[in-house]
Amino acid sequence: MHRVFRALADPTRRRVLQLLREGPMSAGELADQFDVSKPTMSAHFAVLAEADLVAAKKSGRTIHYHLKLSVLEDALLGFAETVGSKAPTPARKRRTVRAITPGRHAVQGGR
Amino acid sequence: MVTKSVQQPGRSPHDFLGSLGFAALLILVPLGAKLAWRLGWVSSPDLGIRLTMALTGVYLIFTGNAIPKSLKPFGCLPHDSAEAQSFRRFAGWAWVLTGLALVAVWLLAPVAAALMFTLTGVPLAIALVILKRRTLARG
Repeated sequence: MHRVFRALADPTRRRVLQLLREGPMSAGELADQFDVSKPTMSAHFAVLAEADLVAAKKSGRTIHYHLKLSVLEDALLGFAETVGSKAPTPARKRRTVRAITPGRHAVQGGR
Repeated sequence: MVTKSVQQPGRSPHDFLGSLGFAALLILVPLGAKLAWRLGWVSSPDLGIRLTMALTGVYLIFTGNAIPKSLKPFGCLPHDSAEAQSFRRFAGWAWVLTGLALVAVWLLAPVAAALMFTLTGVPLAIALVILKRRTLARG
């Protein structure tokens, strides 16, 4: 359980989980939503995978991440979102999220 | 396109022993409550059924909590994964909330009211999950 708390303690990782609530996304699409380097994002993904909060599916050269939260973890995430700090999201990337989110079914592209 | 799953959930011997322990608890708790009542240690003859139903609620909470995590993450529904994920979350939350309500009513409410909730609330939760599944199947 300490891995779950560790994963949820970081606002960037919480934001990743929030984005994945809308549906699976590729590693590239997720990384585009943050102003952090790709190795840093990979480390965040590794922490989330280690805590078993996300599942990774490899299609060719693209890795798609799916949400894998139990109800308790989902509730903990909601609680952490309420009381915790928010991850900074650049304005241009907020527009991208809004453009991707409504009615998105299949995720294309990525790394 | 070759698709490979990096992580796959599995059942461990620990899960099996946990299920076995819970089944034993479901048998032993009502027997113990009945025995305690016969020996005059407890005054309520309903204690056995109250504890059994509360344990059933706990079982629903545990299984519901695991639903979004343990159901096959990929391709469990013939739709895109966003919808499958949404269905798993809905089913898990429905099950957990029903279990919490079941525990609460069987520990706190009169037996008649608790029985009424069991006969209406639990089938309603099952119906909602089936309805959600059918909605996805049509969509």
